[in-house]
Amino acid sequence: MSTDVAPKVSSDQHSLKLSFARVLKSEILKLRTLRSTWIMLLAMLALFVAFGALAALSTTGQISDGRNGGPQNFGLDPVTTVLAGASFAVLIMSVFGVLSGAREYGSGMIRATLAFVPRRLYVLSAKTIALMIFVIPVALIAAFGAFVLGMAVLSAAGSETVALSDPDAQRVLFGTAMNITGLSIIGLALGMAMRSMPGAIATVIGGVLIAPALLTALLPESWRPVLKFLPSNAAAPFTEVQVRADMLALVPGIIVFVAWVILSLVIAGFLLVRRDA
Amino acid sequence: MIEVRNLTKRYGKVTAVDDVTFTVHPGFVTGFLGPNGAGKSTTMRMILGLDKPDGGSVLVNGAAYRSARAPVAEIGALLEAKGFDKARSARNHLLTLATTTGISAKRVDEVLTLVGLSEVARSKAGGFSLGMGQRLGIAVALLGDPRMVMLDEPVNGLDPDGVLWIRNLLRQLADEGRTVFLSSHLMTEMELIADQLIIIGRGKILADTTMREFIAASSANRVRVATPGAAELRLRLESRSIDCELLDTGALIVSGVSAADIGQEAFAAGIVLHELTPLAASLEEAFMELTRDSVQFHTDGAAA
Ligand SMILES: Nc1ncnc2c1ncn2[C@@H]1O[C@H](COP(=O)(O)OP(=O)(O)OP(=O)(O)O)[C@@H](O)[C@H]1O
Ligand SMILES: [Mg+2]
Repeated sequence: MSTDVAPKVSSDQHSLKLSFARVLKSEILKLRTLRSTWIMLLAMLALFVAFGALAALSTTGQISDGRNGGPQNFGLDPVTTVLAGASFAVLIMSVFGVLSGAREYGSGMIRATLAFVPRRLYVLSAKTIALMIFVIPVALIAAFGAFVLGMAVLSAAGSETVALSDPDAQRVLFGTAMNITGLSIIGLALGMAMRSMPGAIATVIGGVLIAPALLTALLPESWRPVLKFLPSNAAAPFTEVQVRADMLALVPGIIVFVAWVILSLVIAGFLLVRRDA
Repeated sequence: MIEVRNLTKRYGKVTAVDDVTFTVHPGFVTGFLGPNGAGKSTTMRMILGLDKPDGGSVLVNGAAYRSARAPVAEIGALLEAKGFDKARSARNHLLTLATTTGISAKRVDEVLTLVGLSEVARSKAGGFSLGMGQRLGIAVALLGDPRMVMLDEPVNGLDPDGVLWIRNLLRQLADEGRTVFLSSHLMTEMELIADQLIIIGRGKILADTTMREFIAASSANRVRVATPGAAELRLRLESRSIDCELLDTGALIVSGVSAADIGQEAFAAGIVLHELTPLAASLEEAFMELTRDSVQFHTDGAAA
């Protein structure tokens, strides 16, 4: 390998300054320069849209019946049908969040990052915002893409459709994108707090996505007033078409969901500042 | 300048760094020498604020590292050879870190050339050998064109060419007036690079001296002399203010003069010599002697 001599003080030495905007730029660059970022975002987009189209295709016969058949029937309404891929999107993006939080601990790069950026909360905040910059647009495109394509499939088959201008459709589409984003942030926070990808992935999937639904299904009705505050239940009023009486209303639901996201970040931030790197 | 004051770090029952105080000065290469587990890496992590001390403090150019305008322009550090993401290219790895502080892409390329990685700059760092990883770590340390460079075992995994290169690089950085602080567990390595020497064992500072003094103290000509006329020879040598030590075995250990000199003296006085043996303790032995004592001391201390 060729070797050279050290240069004298470089020209930009005097303009060097650590700033939050630069740390944010750095975190965006970190995500951009990993192929896994693009693979996961594309996978989310593709699965979300494809499952919506598939669901629309396979239920075109059932929807008109189902509408009168009560809430038990599959393909209850067109919006729910075309958003059939939403749960995959949530799953993939929460894993994506974990990866962006825990990855540097796996490689040991976190110590270089924190040496460059000793203000550790800069790192956590920048990682969170960078994650949102990548997840929010793709989640919105995926949700609206699934809706438009799914509705086109339904309309081609002559089934009932819902217009994009429908307030319920808009609530659920934006809400689904918010749910995806929120869970990816919870994944990031868990990844930073647990410093291990397998552990954090298991926690976000098991604890945040599955456990609340499982508890809601298993525990008696009397537990509802408590269980409705769990993250995935708090998301129900903005991710489900039917507004359920036993769940929170829309605005409290949003507040509680956002509170969970913030709580996870506060815990991650506290641990990041307190612990040795 | 790095000022370490009464720094202490405990991991459970282990006191990894025990009330350590030293200063690293600009313009010199300062070696931080100690056997495995002595506390070198822990001390370096605390200097950068990565680990929190249980006691004591560190000043980097008179201020806390984290309060610097551009921390990496103060200290550039290599802490671990494999501290990069395998999926990212060397150049992108450097760019992500450089961006935090406004270091230009031009500087990134400059540093890549400097460490000899420009040809592989765009391939995934996961495929790098240990030596290439080490060079990438050194590139990270040099990115901010720092006033101080702190390297933890920088020659690990480098080939002889690489070792020579880093020696010259560190010398040049010191000559430019920068503070160079590097750790090693090999005295032979330090002997070739360092001007100043800080020796640590079991978390305690055992020596803080210049390389020159350490060499003088440990490899001063020492000669063992066995002779029936030990007492007389000793008197004669001591009258020339030459250091003599009479061992229990009756042998003399003479310091500071050559065997030939002693032979001459004995011949002139008509003293019969049975043995005249130069004792050349190597620096490595002197270092091991020093750290062995510290281990001994600690074991006794724990038992008491
Ligand atoms: N994160 C940690 N948790 C627990 N113990 C630790 C930790 N880091 C270091 N130690 C312990 O502290 C002591 C000093 O370790 P350190 O890595 O600083 O030594 P070192 O001088 O760098 O050794 P080496 O030459 O092997 O790199 C050792 O006993 C080590 O086991
Ligand atoms: Mg070490």
